[in-house]
Amino acid sequence: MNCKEINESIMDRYFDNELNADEIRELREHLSNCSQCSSDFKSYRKIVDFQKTRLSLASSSIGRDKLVKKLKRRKALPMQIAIGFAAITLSFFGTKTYMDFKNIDNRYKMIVDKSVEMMVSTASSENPVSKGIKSASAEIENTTENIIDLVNDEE
Amino acid sequence: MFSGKNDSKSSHPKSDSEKKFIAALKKKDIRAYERLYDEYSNIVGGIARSYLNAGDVEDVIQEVFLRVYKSVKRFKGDSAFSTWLYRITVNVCKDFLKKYSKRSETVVDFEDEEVPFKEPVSDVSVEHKVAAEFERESFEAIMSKLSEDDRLFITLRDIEGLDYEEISKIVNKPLGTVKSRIHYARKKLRNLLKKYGIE
Repeated sequence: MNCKEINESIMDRYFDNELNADEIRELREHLSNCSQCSSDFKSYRKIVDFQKTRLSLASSSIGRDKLVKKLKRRKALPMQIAIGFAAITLSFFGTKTYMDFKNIDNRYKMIVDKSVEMMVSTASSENPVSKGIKSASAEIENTTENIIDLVNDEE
Repeated sequence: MFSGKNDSKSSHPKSDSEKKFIAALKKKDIRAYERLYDEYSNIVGGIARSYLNAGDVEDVIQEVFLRVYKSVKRFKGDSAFSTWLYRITVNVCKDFLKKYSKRSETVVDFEDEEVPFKEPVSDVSVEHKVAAEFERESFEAIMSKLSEDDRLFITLRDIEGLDYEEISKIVNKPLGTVKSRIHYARKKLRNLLKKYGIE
């Protein structure tokens, strides 16, 4: 076992726990006589230990609480969307129904107005029908007055 | 209970408690996510810290668990749950790196930075502290000189102790490639240690 072999493969296999007992013994012998390889091993171990400490920070309850809050918001989101959608739908149909009623009301009003208008225009025009209506209404008016006079005389 | 290392080695078939745990995650049970955070945030944070070598670690952890929440329904159990989770972690880290490059922000670069010189101090305990601080700064400088991928490979293999096969699934690269990448990352790290005179 020489320095090149150690650098090229033995060290990797050591850190991967792939060396057999004989190879480990041979490696130990080499390291006790070679300061450079020994230093390479120690420094690699040191930096790995350093990284282990640096990276293994305890999980924080603040981070967990933050996550839980986010997840609860996400969980509630479909319900919020459903409620929002229902509110929009209700207000849309509510408005439509109100407008429909209003339109119907307007339509009736329009029909009555048109009818009155037609009756007035018919009564005021000079065609035979309107003349007939006029004379009939005048006759009714006279008859009514005569009846009223007779009733008054009898009293 | 399902720590990354144990999980990776006994991933198939999954234990009943792990199946129940995954089912609870799929049902969006908040308590299961609390447990997920408690059990995995260390390793997820560790990968993020080594990969990004910068802040934003808590943001990465949050994003990883949110992605689990969104996509755990698609987890079919073809791989160990931990493998699937670490793969998400690596992808989130990559997304964060892209975000950095888009913002043209550079992660602290020690390229030309010299290892800081500390004045000698007479007090022995102070001397130890200074030496420890000096070593810490040197190690951080050395780690930052490795590429993100090299740091990730060393973290997954030597820090977290995951096996090559699992690493290959996490980074989505062939087993042979992973082995050789880890070999060269270790070699680079050893050369940097030599260069910085760390013994």
